[in-house]
This record gives sequence, structure tokens and C-alpha cells, in this order.
Amino acid sequence: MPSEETMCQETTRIEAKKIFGDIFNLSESRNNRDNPEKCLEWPEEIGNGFISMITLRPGIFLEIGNFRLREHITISFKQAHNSVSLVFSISGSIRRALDSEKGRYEYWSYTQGHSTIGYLPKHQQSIIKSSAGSRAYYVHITIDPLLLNSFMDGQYDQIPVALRNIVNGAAEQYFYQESLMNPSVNMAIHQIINCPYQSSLKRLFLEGKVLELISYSMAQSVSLGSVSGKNAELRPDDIERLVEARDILIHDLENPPSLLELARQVGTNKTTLNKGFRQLFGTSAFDYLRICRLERARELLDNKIMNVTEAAYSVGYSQHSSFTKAFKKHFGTNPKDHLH
Amino acid sequence: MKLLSPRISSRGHAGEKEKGRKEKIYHIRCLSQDIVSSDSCIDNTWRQTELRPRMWVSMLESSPKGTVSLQYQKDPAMIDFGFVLSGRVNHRSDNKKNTMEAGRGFAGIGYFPGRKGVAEISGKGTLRVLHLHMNPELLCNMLQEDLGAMPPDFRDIMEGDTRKIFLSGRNMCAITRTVVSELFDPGPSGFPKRLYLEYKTMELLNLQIMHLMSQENGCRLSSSERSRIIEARDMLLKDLSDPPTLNDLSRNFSLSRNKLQFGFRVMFNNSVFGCLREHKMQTACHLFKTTDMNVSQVAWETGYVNVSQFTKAFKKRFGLLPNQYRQSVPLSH
Repeated sequence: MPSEETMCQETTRIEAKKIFGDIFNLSESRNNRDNPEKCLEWPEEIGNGFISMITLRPGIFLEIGNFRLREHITISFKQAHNSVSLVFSISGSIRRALDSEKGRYEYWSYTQGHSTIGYLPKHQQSIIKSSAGSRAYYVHITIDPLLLNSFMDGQYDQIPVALRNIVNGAAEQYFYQESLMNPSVNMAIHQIINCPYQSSLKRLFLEGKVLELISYSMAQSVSLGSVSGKNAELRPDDIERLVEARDILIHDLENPPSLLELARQVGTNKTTLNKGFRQLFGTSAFDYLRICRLERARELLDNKIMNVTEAAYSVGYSQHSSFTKAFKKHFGTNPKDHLH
Repeated sequence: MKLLSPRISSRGHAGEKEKGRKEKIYHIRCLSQDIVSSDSCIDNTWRQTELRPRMWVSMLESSPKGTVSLQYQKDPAMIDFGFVLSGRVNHRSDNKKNTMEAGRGFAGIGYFPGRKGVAEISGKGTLRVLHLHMNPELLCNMLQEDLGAMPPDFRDIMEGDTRKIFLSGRNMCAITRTVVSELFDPGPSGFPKRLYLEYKTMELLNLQIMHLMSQENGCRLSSSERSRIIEARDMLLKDLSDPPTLNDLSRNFSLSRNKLQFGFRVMFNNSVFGCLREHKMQTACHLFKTTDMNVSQVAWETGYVNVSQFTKAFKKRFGLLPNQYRQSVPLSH
């Protein structure tokens, strides 16, 4: 992942309002007859691809982005409303920098194969950074916390405290949680981006699928919360270490470091590392690696860079059949279907 | 709002008892929250949830020892989607004019204004039935541009006709059956429960709407033709200042001009040109309401080069001159 310092290309700065208009204005888009669907195509000189946006009902907004940029861009946002944002990243990686109170930036990352739950309070400023070169493909759901509250229907006791405060309208701080997309999430995403319907059926279908994704995200936050159990929440420097470990782990998928090496490199021990991994990413370091391998393979297939056997081999599977099986289990699709 | 509900206050029906039949009449009153109720006579579970205003899902599981009758009244009337997973239920209306028998695997869609009736549950086996009740207007709002693809009576009901009756029944297809069973038995995956109910119900609704559409047009248009006609409509309305010609559409979507015009009539209840004009008029109204554009700007924006043509069309459609209309609506930003 290139750090900001190494970026030498020009960066285009865009105000979110120019792209999205008032569409993020959750509470006022009461009548979605007026503006149910919008599609933005990047101008030729910036990149190719699109961002499509649809208001599914007052309080729920769906955005699908699929583009490859020629320039780095930053889009600056200022939240008009409290909103919970769920990002499911299918491909590529996008970062969001948030102004924090201490006068420095806090970074969220939307990494391939991951989903995030984020909370942005009213007036929160943030900047989305999207780099040139790689393809960004994501599904982004924005939802009014009050609506989310009505969906929970009192089942609060299981979700993390921070999230509980958000849906109760008691949170003033932003919130961020990252987890891997599990097979059911992948399936729903697949159905959303390949929606077989048109007009009203399409809206109904998307609305249902989006609610399904919201439900998965809530369930995921529960399982993450229960892993941490009585343990204290992770400290910021723990998180930093874990993210660093994650980056090292997936840097070279064919020759990953052992758990011991990895722990040493980031200055912690095996137990803490594995426990932290479960807490932050929802699964063990080894399982995390496995999923990243499958993600990488899918990317190779989607971009038609390799055939199935080559892709399997390049991410460390020596057997075609075990690769196919693992792939199918994770994504719900056959690897070779991705080559069409 | 009156719906089938569980608070089943038993009200013995003398006449029936005298005949010595093992039947009990239950009076059903309206209720608006989840309830699980059991009665000594029938062992049943009733769950009912208001998913959003004017949309309800209810599930009844009942294993009566003998035949049981449930009396109900629906007022105001709702569009009901019913699904029978197992067991058998007979509906008969108050005046005994309409009877409907629904057995295992039955899926029905109905609307009966102010209907009173009796549902008779046979004592053999467990009855598991799911209902989705919707206010017609809500469904109308959801379907919007596809209203035309609905059966005419059903469309009238959604548009507010409260005198019409609609009933359609068929066997559940495999997917529908799966979704209904999942709603009955969510398993561990359904968290939060309320949200699970809602998205599964939407899935179910989607399937039913699709069936209604294919029922309406199936005999005359294939599903591929239908979807191409919808795409053609989308393309037609995309850019009002430079709309495609009939030939463009015909070529782009591989539909003959005749088929295209016929399809528009069937599905949108309007000609191709009529659809475009109606959309222009609606857009114009919208612009008058939400912007401070003047009449010529709006005319230009909706693809009219000539203001007088626009004025004429507007007057014909709404009975008001554009300028009068513009002054009559307060700007709502």
C-alpha cells in the first residue's frame, strides 16, 4: 500500500456536495419519487467507471462504486446528519481520514474483502482518499441511526456498548469496526451488484438485500463483541500494532511469516497477537491469511490475469480441488465463473 | 386498523354446538403487537409484527383437535398475501358468496373491502400459514412506474378503488416455499430478529410482485421482452432534451416498432410518445415546485424548443397555464 509520501502524482480535490448533492441528506429525502437513482461517471481525464446512488427509503441510502482512477482524488465530506456507514469493499482499498479532536487525523481503511461499520456524528469532517491505478469496487450503505434503532427492536444487550450508544442517539464520538466479509455477506453483495431486475422490482430487491446486509453487520458486531468479552477494549497502540501485523501478514501471501515471527516484528507475543486479531478482525491470524489468499485469487480471476490452476498456485494452494472447495465455501461461486 | 389477531376470546356458538359438531367460533379482534397466545382448545401460536407503518406480517401455527372456525372482519381492507405451509384452511365470506379453499402449498393474493368472514381450520394436521398485509397505497408507492404491469383490477385497488375485489391463487414455487419456511423458523441466523423478518418479507413480496406481473403479461410478452421494454422506457426518459426516436429504441432493444408500442400500452398504459410527454409534464411540475426557473427555462429543460408548444401541452395536461401553475405552488426547497 503506497503511503501518502510516495504519492507523486497530482491529487484532485473534490467537494462531496458536487458529486452527491443533497442525496446524503437522509432525513429530508422523504420523497424518493423525486430522486430515486443517480449515476455519476468519472470524467475521462480523472478515470473511468461510475458511482451509482439510490435512496431505498427515507433513511437508507445505497452507493455502489466501481472505477479505476487515473489521478489520486480526495473527496471532502461534512456530515449533515448523524449517520452509520457500512462499507463492503469488493476490490481495491480506499482510506478515510477524519478530523479528530486532538487536531490530527484518524484513519479508517476500506480494504478489499472487509466490511466496516462506521459512525459519523453530525458536523464530522472527513476526507476520502482514493488512489490512482487500482480498481475500487465497493458497496456503501448509509443509514440513519434512528432507523437502525427501530430495526434492533430492543435487542441491545448483545451489541457492543459503543454501537448501542449510537443507535440510541447517545454517541457523540465516531466509531469504527472492521471485519472480514463472511460467505453470506459475499453472497448478498454478489446479488446486489448483479441485480437481475429493473425499476420498482429492482428497488424492492435492493432494499431487501440491503436490509439483509445491515442484519449481517449487526450480527457480526455481536460476535466481535462477544470475543472481547470481559476484556477491556483494545488500546489505540494495540490497534496500530495489529494493523501493522496484518499488513506484514498479507504482504507476501505465498511466504507468510510464522505467527512467532510476526509477533516479534510488531513487538508483542503470540497470544496477544492472536487474541487481538480475533478482537479486531473477527478471526484468527491464520484464518485471516486464508481469506486474504482467496480474495487475492478472486481478484486475479476477475481481472482475467490467470486461469484457475495458476491462481490457486500463486496464492499458495497446491491442489486445484481444495482451492475450488475453499473458494466456493467462501464466495458461494465457482472460481471458473469469475473468468467469464 | 383491524387484522386477524390472536386474542381469541372464545365465544361459543350455540347453534353450532347443538348440531353436535366439534366446532368453536372465535371472535377476532384487532391488535397491534406480537402476541403468543394459546388456548386450551386449540394449541396455537400467533405472531404478528408491524414491519413498517401499514405493513404487517403474521404467522399462525395451529393444531386444533377438531375443526375450528375463526371469525374475522377486515376494515379498512388490506391487500393480503397468504401462504399455507401445511394444513388446510377454508375461507368463506359472510354472505357465503365467496369461498376459498387453501391447502398445503397454496399462495394467494386477495383484497376484499369491508369483508367479514370465517376461516375454518380443519382438525387434521398442523396448520402453518403466513400472511402479509399491506395497505394498497403503500404498495402503490413501492411499485410506481410498474403499476401498468399489474392486472387492471389490482392496479385500480392500489390506486384507491375500494369497491373492487381481487383474488388470485396458485401453488407456491420452490423459492417462495423456502422463504416462507425461513420466516417461520429463522434459526440462529436471524439477528436482529426484527430486521430478519423485514428483509425476508421483502424477498417474499418481490417474488409475489413478479408473479403478478408475469400473470398479467405472460401470455402476450415474454419476460425478456418485458425487461427490454422497461429498459427502452428508461432510455427514452433519460435525456429529455434529446430523446431517442422510435427507430432508435427499436434497433437498440431488438424489438419491432409494433412490439414496442404494444408493450408500452400493455405495461405502462400509454403510448411511447405519451409516456415521454407525461414524463416531461411531471418533470416540469417538479421543477416549478422545487426551483425558481421561469416558464421558458422549464420548457427548455424538459426538451421543448418552443415555449408556446410547451404552454399548450401543459394546459392540455393540467388545465392550467404554466405561469398560473408556477404562481399557485409555493416554492419548497
